[in-house]
Amino acid sequence: MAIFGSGFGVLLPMFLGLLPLGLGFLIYVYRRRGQGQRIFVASTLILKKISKPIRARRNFFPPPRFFWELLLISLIGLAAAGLYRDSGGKVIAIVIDNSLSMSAVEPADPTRSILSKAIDRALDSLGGMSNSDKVTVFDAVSQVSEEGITPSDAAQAIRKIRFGYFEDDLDSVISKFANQNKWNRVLVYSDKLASDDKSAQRVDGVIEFVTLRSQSENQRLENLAITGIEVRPTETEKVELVVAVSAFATGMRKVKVVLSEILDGREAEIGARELEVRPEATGQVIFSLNQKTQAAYKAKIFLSDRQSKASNSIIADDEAFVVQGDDTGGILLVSDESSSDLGLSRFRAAKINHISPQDFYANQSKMDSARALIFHRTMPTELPNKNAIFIMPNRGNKLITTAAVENVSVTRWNSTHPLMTYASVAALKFSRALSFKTPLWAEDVLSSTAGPVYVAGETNGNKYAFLGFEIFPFEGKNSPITSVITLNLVKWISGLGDARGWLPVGRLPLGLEAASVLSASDPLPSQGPIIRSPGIYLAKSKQIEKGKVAVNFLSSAESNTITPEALRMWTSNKNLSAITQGKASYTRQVASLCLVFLIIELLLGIVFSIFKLRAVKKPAKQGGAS
Amino acid sequence: MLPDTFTPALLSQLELLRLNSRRAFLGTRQGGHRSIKKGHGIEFSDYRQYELGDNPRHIDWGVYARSDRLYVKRFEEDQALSLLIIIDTSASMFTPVDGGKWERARDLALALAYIGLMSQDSVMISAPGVFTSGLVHGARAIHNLSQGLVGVKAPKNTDFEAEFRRSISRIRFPGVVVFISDFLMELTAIEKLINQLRAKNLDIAGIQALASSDIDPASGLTDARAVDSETKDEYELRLDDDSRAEYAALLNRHNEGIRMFFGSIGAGFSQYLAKDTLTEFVVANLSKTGLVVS
Repeated sequence: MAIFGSGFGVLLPMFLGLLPLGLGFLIYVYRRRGQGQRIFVASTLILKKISKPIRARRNFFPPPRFFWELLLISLIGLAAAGLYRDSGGKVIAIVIDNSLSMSAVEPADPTRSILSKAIDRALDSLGGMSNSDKVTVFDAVSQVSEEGITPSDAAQAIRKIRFGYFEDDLDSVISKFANQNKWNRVLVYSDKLASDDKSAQRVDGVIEFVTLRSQSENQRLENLAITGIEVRPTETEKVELVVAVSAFATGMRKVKVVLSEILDGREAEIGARELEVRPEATGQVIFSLNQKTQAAYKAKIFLSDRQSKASNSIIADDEAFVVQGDDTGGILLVSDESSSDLGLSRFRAAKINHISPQDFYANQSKMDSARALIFHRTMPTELPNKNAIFIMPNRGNKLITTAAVENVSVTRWNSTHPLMTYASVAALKFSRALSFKTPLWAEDVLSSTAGPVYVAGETNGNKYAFLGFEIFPFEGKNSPITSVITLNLVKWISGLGDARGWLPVGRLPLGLEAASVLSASDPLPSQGPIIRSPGIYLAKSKQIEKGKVAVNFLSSAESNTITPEALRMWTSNKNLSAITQGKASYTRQVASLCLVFLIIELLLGIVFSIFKLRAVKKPAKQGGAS
Repeated sequence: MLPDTFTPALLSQLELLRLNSRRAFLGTRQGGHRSIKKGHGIEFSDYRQYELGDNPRHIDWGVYARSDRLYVKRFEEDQALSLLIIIDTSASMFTPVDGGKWERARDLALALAYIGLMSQDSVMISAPGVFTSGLVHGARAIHNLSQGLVGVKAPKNTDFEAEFRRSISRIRFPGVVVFISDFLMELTAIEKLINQLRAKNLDIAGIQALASSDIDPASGLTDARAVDSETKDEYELRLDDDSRAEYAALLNRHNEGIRMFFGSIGAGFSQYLAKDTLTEFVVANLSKTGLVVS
């Protein structure tokens, strides 16, 4: 129904029945009110026998209050029926999955990715919408357009969508839309498969899920991807660069891994390996490299077997980046013993400078240029504002509670902690050691029969590790366990990447403030702490002025094209109309108005009742003079 | 104390009257009414054959001379009459509230009671559900009766028929019963009540007390919603001249029906209307019916 150019409608038309019922009731009540004086008679025995019709046939002249009450009943009826103003158009959301897997191309049409097909389908659906429809465009992680734009503006926004280096979470997206009742339609375009399990969580309503992946066995997409890369220290001066390659395929795949060194923004190939990967399995190649500072590498895979019909549908996961670590600034050793006494002159993984405790405490500005600190058998009074290792802290220090223990053996260790990478500590025993009371911000890395002897954690933006046992002198391969622990510690406190040598896309860890692109797979400008695509970046942190950071997005979930994940939610693809926010607010407004009028009516009723009561107390006219 | 209606002038006139019964009843004591019992009055009643032990003075020797048989004379016995006055206490008698219908009925009952008490008769007044006196006699008893009736209000939630039955169950000696009511009820209901009195072998007299509102309801109004005082039914009224005329005719027909019923059972019936004063009604109207004689 259109009134003054705006369409109006009701949600529950059955309640409009209240209007005629209310009107009839009101007229009945008023007719009863106006039906002559009420008189008590001895008996109506004779009166009833009067043959002439004596029912009052007076004309009904409603008083002003009748119209007031009629208005009230009308408002109640309209509020109950859910009056809303219909803008005439539907409110539609379009969600386009632009996670990494959407960059896959199908063998039949290698020029178009699944994302481009999704965009085309979305544009087709826009073509069927009217100009009065209000559209909002979302990708897998955010709102892309302004809310409630025209279909033509929505088309422009959709065309700008690119795939991103992230995993989708469509279950959450769909459930979020399902719980909002402001949309008439929600169109979701993805390569995910809708769940076949009817017992899955059912999401009814306005969700229309469109899967763009062919479900035919013959048309399953195959993919090769780098699913892991890291730099491992060795007992020698060399390092190992390990690249893991997964084959999401139906048969064996021969893969060539090419390693390039990135220097000053240019790539130089330094090695290549070939490997065969079993279907739906992962293989590794290892490159042996000299330890270098400022070294950044890129690994890229190619399908060796060009004869087969094998395909590699996603290109974006075919390369990965890694750095060896940035030694700029060096690590400052605070100890009564020199670096050579502690065997650290043989330590190649990082540059270690030495300062005596007296000199350090006299002028702590010397730590400003260091990347990290090692306190050997000496403790400051407060935690330094840099990453630091505290080896054999003296008892009575103010930073951590210690207790001397003897003849203890290792009981538990955190094998997933970066500090325990490749460290075989099961057989470790300590004739003398210090056990700690683990601070709240730290966790136990290694525990003994007498308590934790190795704890580490992050607080105030810095990493700290406390060792209750001696790892020096550094003896390299002659003491492999302590050497590995030393290497891991140095890597951990270095501040430019974790022990693997790279960071995942997204927000950089604390301390890294800015980055510029040195080499990236997708040369998008990246400023600030969020990096959206893999590559090598020059980053600034609290520890160093500048250093190279490798960023990757390695996700088996997104790279696995052969057995993609299915939605956990089951949608019925129904298209039901729902209330828009604009409609709902009208109902609330009408209901609020009703409430005000009802209160006024109640007050009027009380006032009239009081007047009536006073009138009743006077003897009523009793039907004639006696 | 008697109500203000009972002025000395009224009382003087009432003292000149006495109740009359159309039949003779067995009384409990001597009085001024002929009884079915034969006794030692002065009025000759009948002869009967002499039986051994009869007083020879009562032998009628003239009859013996004519018939050679001995007969004794029998004389009428004058005994006191029992008067039962029942006043209708249904809600209609108290409607309208300030209409005075109940008060008029009450005063009429007291007037009849006074007449009876002054004639040495025994009187019992019953307002079923409200007040029932015992069988009293003597002039002073009028004050007790008055005390019991003055200030009576309509009983709530009482079954008039059951109370009526309870009242007449106290009657031990038959006599005269005067039922004062507005008789604004179905004829069948009236018959049911009166038949209970007939079962007691009473000399029945009915007096219909009507208020002006019973004769002319909703006077001065053309539209009204009438509420029945007993059933609480509501009835819309639109009373123009024709309707009022028809109402009056219907009321007359109803009253005629009652009169015919009372006549058919040999009972007296009279109407005590609002326009009638107590003195006029008792002295003039009731005398015509034979309920009272001077």
